[in-house]
Amino acid sequence: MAGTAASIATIPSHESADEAEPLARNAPPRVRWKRTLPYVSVLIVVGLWQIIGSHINPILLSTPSATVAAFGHMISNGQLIPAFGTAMEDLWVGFGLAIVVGIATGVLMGRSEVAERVLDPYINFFQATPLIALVPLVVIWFGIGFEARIATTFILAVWSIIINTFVGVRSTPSALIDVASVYKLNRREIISKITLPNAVPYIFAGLRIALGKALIGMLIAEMEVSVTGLGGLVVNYGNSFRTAYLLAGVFTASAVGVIGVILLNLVKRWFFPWVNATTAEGVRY
Amino acid sequence: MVAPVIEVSHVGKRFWQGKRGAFLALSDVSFDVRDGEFISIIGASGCGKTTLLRMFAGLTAYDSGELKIRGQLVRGVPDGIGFVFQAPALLPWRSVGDNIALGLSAVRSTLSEGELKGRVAAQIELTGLSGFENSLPHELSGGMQQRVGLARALVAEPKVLLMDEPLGALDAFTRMRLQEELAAIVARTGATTVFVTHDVDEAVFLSDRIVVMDRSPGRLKQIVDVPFDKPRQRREFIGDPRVAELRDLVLGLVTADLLLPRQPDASREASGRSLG
Ligand SMILES: Nc1ncnc2c1ncn2[C@@H]1O[C@H](COP(=O)(O)OP(=O)(O)O)[C@@H](O)[C@H]1O
Ligand SMILES: [Mg+2]
Repeated sequence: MAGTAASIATIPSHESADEAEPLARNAPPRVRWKRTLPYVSVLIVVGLWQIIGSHINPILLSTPSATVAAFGHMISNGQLIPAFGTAMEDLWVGFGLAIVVGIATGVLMGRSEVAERVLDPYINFFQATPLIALVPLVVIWFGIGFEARIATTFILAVWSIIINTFVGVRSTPSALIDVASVYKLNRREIISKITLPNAVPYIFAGLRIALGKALIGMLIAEMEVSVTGLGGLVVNYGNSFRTAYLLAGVFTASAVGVIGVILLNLVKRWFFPWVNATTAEGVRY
Repeated sequence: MVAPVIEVSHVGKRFWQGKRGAFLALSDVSFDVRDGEFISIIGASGCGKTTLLRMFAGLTAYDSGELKIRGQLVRGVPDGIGFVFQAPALLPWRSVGDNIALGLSAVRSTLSEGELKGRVAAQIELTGLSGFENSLPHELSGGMQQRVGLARALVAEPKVLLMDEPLGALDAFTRMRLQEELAAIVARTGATTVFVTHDVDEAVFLSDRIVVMDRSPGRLKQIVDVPFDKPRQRREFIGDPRVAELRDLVLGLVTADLLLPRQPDASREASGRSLG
């Protein structure tokens, strides 16, 4: 493996939350109270926010109750749902394109040393560049509409997917390549039956990272490029100093990210049930 | 007289190990394997057993001598072979049944969907995997995983079955049980079999002949006949004093160099010297 690209990739690991669950359920009561700590902690912070926020200028901090009220108001006045829809659309079209292009490029680089050596410098360059700085260029190329927002989301997300797919394909155990040789799989079958499935755990780890970046890209585009969707809401309410509304928009954007992570995990569990099991247990090669 | 199924004549292999120079992994190995024969290759670790077996399967190229399987010079993977790997090398994302079906890839185009399913089902039955068709590999024990590896190798009904320490990683009981099943299955298919092992008892119990190898450089030491009838019943077999004698002979051959003071390594050549 020649590329420094490899060193940037994330090796899949199982999520601690999945594992803590069964342990804690069987844990003695003495240990169980610790599980309530996150809730207690959040309650205390929200409480403090409420108290402090109601004693200072509402523009600075607002309060949880005002934020919830703003949230309800934005739903009833028909602002929030369309903004949420626009954000979801921007995110998933851009992220979806990044998935397709990222996996295809990663597989190409993984299977062909020529492609790897040709593409490696650009992958490293874009991985290291603060891509936000390219947003003005995106505007020059794509204008200020839907296409520009998609492009912004895409360029932030695609690199992690390329790199992780590449590393996943390259990490195919040589024993499995031997199996493919002995049973005379052709090039296409080796990709579809061996190297691509082998890369799936790596790809999912890459998608988790890429989703976070896509979310940033989507919001930046909605704030700076088009002023629409959730990013647009946040900017407009910020400009008019309506902090509670601004925060309600921010929390809705968090929800978009959380929904994305949940969807990824569901896809993983439904279609690739072996992913966590095999990285944890290890099937011998 | 029928031609041998595998003909090994003066086969040699050098590996280039970077700065450490050329390493002579096999030197002038010659022997034949007859049709339907069960041959074991035994020898200390590093004597080139795996290298030799991989050559039979076309996975490693030899660089001197000649190697023929069923009359054909080996270039690339020969037709009609099955290979059982030391670690089962199963695809973690495929069910047991689908892993076994992979063994039919080369002949896939000649089979209908029904025939394919039938062959896999029959193989599952034969290798004692009934009820596990839909399990994923990580749900199986090591012994069961190796059964899947065996089933995958056998499903295309290979004329030549190559196995690289297939039982090496298993516990003693599983191992003995699988030895017996293996003997029965191989007898039933009539496949010519080359079985790599480092276990003397296993080699004696299963084989018609045992090829004992030596190392530094990897070479043939002696071929030992195991002239006992098959099928073999383990208890009578172990109790037979002639078997015990043969076992001691093989053990002596295999361990001879371990008991001697270490010889200078004749397989190593100074780097930079021509490979000749
Ligand atoms: N691909 C390779 N490159 C360099 N050296 C190798 C390679 N494969 C095997 N060898 C060397 O050849 C020797 C024989 O290896 P192997 O056939 O695996 O032995 P065995 O299976 O009898 O333990 C070992 O010393 C090993 O280090
Ligand atoms: Mg070996």
